[in-house]
Amino acid sequence: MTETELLNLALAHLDRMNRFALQLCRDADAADDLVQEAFVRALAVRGQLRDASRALPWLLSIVRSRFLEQSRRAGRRLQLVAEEAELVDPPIGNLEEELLRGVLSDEVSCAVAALPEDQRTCVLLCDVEGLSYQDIAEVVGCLPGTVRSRIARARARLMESLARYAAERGIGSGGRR
Amino acid sequence: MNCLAFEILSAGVDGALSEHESHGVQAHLAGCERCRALRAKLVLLKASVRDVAPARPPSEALKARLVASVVRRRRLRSAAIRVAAAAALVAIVVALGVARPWRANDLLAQLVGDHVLITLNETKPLEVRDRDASAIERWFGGKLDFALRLPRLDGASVVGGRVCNFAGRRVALTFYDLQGRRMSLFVTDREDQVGEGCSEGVRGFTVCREPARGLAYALVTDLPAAEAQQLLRTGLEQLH
Repeated sequence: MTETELLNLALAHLDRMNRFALQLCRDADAADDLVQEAFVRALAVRGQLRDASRALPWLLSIVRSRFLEQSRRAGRRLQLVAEEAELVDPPIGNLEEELLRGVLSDEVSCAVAALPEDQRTCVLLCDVEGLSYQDIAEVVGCLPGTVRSRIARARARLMESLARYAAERGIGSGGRR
Repeated sequence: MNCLAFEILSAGVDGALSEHESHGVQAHLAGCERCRALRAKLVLLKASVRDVAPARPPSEALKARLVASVVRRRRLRSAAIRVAAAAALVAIVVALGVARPWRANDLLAQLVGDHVLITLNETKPLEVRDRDASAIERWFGGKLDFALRLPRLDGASVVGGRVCNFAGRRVALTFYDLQGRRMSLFVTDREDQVGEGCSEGVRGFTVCREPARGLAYALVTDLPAAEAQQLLRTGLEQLH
């Protein structure tokens, strides 16, 4: 893989690398810096990429690892891994209408941002980037079964958060299954 | 009847169940209203997470920074390595141009590669800078084997150009600015090499190729294909 070939691959996937970085950093300038830093790293280790069709998960894994490294360097305390509490069914309440109308979009954003990093990354790569569990496993360095579990836990937390918010605002019933 | 595990329902909305699991889920959902309701909520939640994702396309500045990263690495290498690499690259280009005809994918990839490397790479500046298309046409006079005719692209202004080698032939590479978007327009007299058509998603760019008045034009841009094709065709129709 030449540098120019890798550059072309990175440019082809730049919108997704950039969006993923933006969701990790939540700051446009920091996201640009992260993407560039990840690309420089990718250039240095481009020999690892043997199959150009696997470039996207490979590039995203570097974006994530640089983000975690930056966070460590900056002394930011991320909740990287969720406590493995038993997965219970979330409340089912009556949030459909509010979600459909976009009324809760800010709350969805906040609830996603509040997830532990491992769950947040998995659910964003799945729902926003449309990656398969296999590809997500490659990005985060775990087994596909772990990805499945993390996504389910993330969604349970999101539904809990939104149901709590809805109950506080008097939206929906907030009932439990 | 035991309800489905939440993890199974969650994986189901992602289409990530095994065939065996999927059959079991479908059978259960057919008879369980509560699981159907929860599944519907998961589908909605998935769509909501997708919808709140930021929609911010990467900036031209970020693309330029990636290109600059490659350029910086290259500068750090020794002159000998650079000369050897350049010689190898020339040999490959000559071999490709001589040994076999250009395939469509080769051509599109090279057009986009040149667009990226030249428009975003400050180390390969424009050879002529002028916002007057006629002045640019005159500058190319005698440098090519054909008389360059540049179209006026609606809403865009020409900013400059340079002579470029393409498949062993000297072609004109000109640049337009469309409200801050940089577009490349390649012009050659070899219609057979360029062909006709519009392709979107070529390494992140759109490439539209059109013949006109004995010349072949290829526009590289980040506009959607339909918009780029309309822009080029309208400009070429107005060529006298």
